Amino acid sequence: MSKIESGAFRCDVSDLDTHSLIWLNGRLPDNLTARRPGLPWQVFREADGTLVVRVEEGVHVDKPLQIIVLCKKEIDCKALSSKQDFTLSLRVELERGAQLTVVHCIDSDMETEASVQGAVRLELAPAARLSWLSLQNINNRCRVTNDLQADVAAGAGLHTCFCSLNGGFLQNDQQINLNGVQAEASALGLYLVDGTQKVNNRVKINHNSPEARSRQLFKGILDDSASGRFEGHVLVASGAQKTEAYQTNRNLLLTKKAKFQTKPYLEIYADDVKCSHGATVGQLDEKALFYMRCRGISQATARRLLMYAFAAEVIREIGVAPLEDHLTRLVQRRLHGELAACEDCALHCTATKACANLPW
Amino acid sequence: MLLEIKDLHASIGDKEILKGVNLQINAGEVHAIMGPNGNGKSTLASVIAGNELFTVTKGEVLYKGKNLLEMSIEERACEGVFLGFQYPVEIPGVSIASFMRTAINEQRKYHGQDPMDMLEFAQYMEEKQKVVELTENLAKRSVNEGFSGGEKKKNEIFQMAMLQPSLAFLDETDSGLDIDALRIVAGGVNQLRRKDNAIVVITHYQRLLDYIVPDFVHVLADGRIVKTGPKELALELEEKGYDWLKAEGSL
Repeated sequence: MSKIESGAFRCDVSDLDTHSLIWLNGRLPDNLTARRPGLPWQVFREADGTLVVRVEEGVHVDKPLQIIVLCKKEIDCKALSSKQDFTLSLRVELERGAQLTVVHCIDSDMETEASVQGAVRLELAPAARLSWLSLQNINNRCRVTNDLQADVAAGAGLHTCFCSLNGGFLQNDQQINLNGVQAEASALGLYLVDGTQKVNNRVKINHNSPEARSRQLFKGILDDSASGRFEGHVLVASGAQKTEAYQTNRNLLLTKKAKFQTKPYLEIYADDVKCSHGATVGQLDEKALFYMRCRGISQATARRLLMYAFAAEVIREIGVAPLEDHLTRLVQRRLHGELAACEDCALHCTATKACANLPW
Repeated sequence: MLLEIKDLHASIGDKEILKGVNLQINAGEVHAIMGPNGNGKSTLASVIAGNELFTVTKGEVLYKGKNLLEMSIEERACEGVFLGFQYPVEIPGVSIASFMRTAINEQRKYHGQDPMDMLEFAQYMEEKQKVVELTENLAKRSVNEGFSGGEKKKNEIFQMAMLQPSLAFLDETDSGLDIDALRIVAGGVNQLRRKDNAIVVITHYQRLLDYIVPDFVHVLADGRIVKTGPKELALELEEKGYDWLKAEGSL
């Protein structure tokens, strides 16, 4: 999603207008202050280093907050040791009725070997709305482990989407607690992996209150010897009547060596609920391929079109149009085989003053 | 001659289904292929389209003088062969418009032409939707997803109108249609009849041939074409059933 050019950070999604916050190799900018004029939130650090973003009651933040996590060789700063290990601790608090979209981009350059741990807490007061969109596009030597915990109060809605486009090892765990009546959560995921990349998504949604709704939709395409796992768990507590919970995981394996394990799981203690789950691991539909070829579409194009259509079901629910467009392009290029790991998104930059004075 | 099928044998697994089909089709003609279920009508259409489930074990198919059986599925389509499916396939997430735009542009690429521009395509599509009264609403939806039987068949004829094939095999296009849909679909096919193309209608029932009047009627039974006649043959079959051919010694 991003590049550093001549020392200044530039996001690749040119028409995505965001407030951005850059986290370079685990460091926040020094000039981070509790309140900056003109910003629709408070931002501060706690003693343990946790970054807190708070949106006050009723405030609808006009443009997304983009949190960019960069793993990048710093040329004129102290050299990175061979392996980096960062833990990024973040808490987002939305007061009653507040609304915010967070775009969380994890990028790397081609060489850096890093392990990024994300510890994210999301707290949604009643009627708050939060979209958490995580885009992961890092080199194969990098690992990402995201641990997201969310508490959603009555009438509040959380939307999460984890798009894993590249990375040696990507683990996204999330636990969403629907604690008030009519709380809502939708958890989406899209992963496109190849080579020996691994991607795991683990989702637990606790329906602790009645009339809450949740939906999980995770889809992935695995090529070469890529592998992955999905564990989806919905727990409906005994008092949580009128719960609606749906869970879907669909996977396309493009080769015999690609592997995927899926564990959809519903655990229900209430008796008046609507719940469903479905999981598939399969290949492209041969009948559809034949049908398309019968119209003159080459096999390669037909395959790409089917794969794109498969992925698009998730992309079109991201809810931020420039990001949807950007992901569409990335996915299309990826399916054309034009997008090698990190080529488009990551920093592949030759800038020499990258780490100095990053604006935010 | 547009299509010449000579002694065509085809199998699925160990089972031989086509046992020596001979058929000649000229441009400007409409042929109907009738016959009892499970006797190879759909197999013939599938083999012409290039369905890899079937193996051709003997015989020859010449299309515009070229060996059709050597061509890939998409090559046949680009050369003007069209199969209207008995069971059109659902393609979730691919709109009819993007499906057709891809197909047209792939065919244009095959012929060394530039892709059709967006505006031209939109106008062209709008014009062709009228052939089968395909609504705007339907055209925006994913290919065949959640379509009724009638909508699926309309969509087949719409695609035929878009791609303008030289040779169209319509496999039981009348099955699952109520009388209104049948009239629309058949009307669409009639609009697409031209001097330089040929249409082969595969059907069980004479009913369709009231609307699409064929030049020739063939009876395909036990993997062979056992009788060929003028359009009146269809009426005779309707009246007497296929057993009549048995009695006559054709079967």
